[in-house]
Amino acid sequence: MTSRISTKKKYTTSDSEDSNKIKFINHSGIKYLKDVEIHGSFIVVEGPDASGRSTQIQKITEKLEADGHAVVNAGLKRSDLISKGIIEAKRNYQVGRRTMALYYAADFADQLENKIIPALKAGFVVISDRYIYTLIARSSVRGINKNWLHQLHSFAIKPDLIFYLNVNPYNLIHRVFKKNKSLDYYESERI
Amino acid sequence: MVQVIGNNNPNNVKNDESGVLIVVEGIDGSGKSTQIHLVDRWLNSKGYDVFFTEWNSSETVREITSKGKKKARLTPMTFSLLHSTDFADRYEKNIYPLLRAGYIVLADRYIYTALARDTVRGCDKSWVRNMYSYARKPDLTFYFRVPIETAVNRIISGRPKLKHYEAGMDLGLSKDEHESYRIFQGRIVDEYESMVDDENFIVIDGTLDIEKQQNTVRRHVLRTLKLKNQVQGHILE
Repeated sequence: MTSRISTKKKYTTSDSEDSNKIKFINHSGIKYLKDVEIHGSFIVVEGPDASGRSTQIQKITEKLEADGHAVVNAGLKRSDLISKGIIEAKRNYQVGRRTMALYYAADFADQLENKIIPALKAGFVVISDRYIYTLIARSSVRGINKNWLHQLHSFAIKPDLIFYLNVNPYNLIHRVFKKNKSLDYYESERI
Repeated sequence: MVQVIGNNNPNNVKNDESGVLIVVEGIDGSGKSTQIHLVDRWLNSKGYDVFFTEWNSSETVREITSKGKKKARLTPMTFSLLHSTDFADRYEKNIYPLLRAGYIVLADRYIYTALARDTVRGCDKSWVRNMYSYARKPDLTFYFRVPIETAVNRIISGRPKLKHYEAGMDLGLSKDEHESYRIFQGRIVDEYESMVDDENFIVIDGTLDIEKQQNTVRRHVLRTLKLKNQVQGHILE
């Protein structure tokens, strides 16, 4: 029943002078933000639908807050400006795969710049429910070039910690049916 | 196979779409829209299958972009990504399928607009390039070159109030709207000029008479249609 949690990567901060400098996945990153200083930590929880991300995030948040750390939760498709457009676009099933990938990237950029980075600057622990790895994986299985996707999302910042909740698809389907009694169209698209 | 424009992309990749892609680029007030409109009318009158597409006009995305612009809450990255989403939507829905179907596609602004503007706003050039790397290279790109003052005066004379992003106010170049607009347009021109050779722009002098410009444009269009074996007998009349 329990999800196996594996720590994929851990970035240890060095004691060098610029250890607080913002770190982007690609060195060029967001050029106009390259001098931003980060004082918080950035944790990402990845995993498919029904892999138990919300439960784990809730527990981590409770624990961190009990210990006196301020926590901000972030996730995909939550920017109030763009998410409405994405929901609308998905409703009419008319939108192409590349368009969707870019729409999600725009939404993510909005969150990154207006929520995640400001919170990290202010010293919060930011926990993101899914990150660019989900965006890359989703579009990649829909046939979009992987290298293109990696470059597209290379303006993202490096997490300090990434959890991947690894659950096999058979268990996942059962969990989803338990939760919703049906599969979401886009989560279960025929490939 | 779509011919891609990218860093490591040879220019000699063959297009095998049968359609013809014609693009106009230039700053606001350079006269490019007038010229492409006249090409559209001309080709339509000759019975060609023509599709006209405009920058920032996808129905799915435009509403969000204009909301973000009105509230002045777009960052250079979200500005860039939303315009890229808009382009992708038009590309996937119209441009690509219609080119494959043999249409002449006329585009008022294409990927070069994004390359110029987003770079000026501070996005990484190679990042922007990658984003548009799937887009087919145009068969013809007209660049309308005008002195900045000419273009700026054409725009400002009819409109005392400029829009926030249009004037580049998000860049903090100047507190004065018109001054900011001038500086912003000047930087975009520099970006365009840097692409003239590499991207094979056909430079049109946008200060000439409209008819004179149109003649030159039509001559180039005709030559391209001939090259692509798209000429219909009566176009020369």
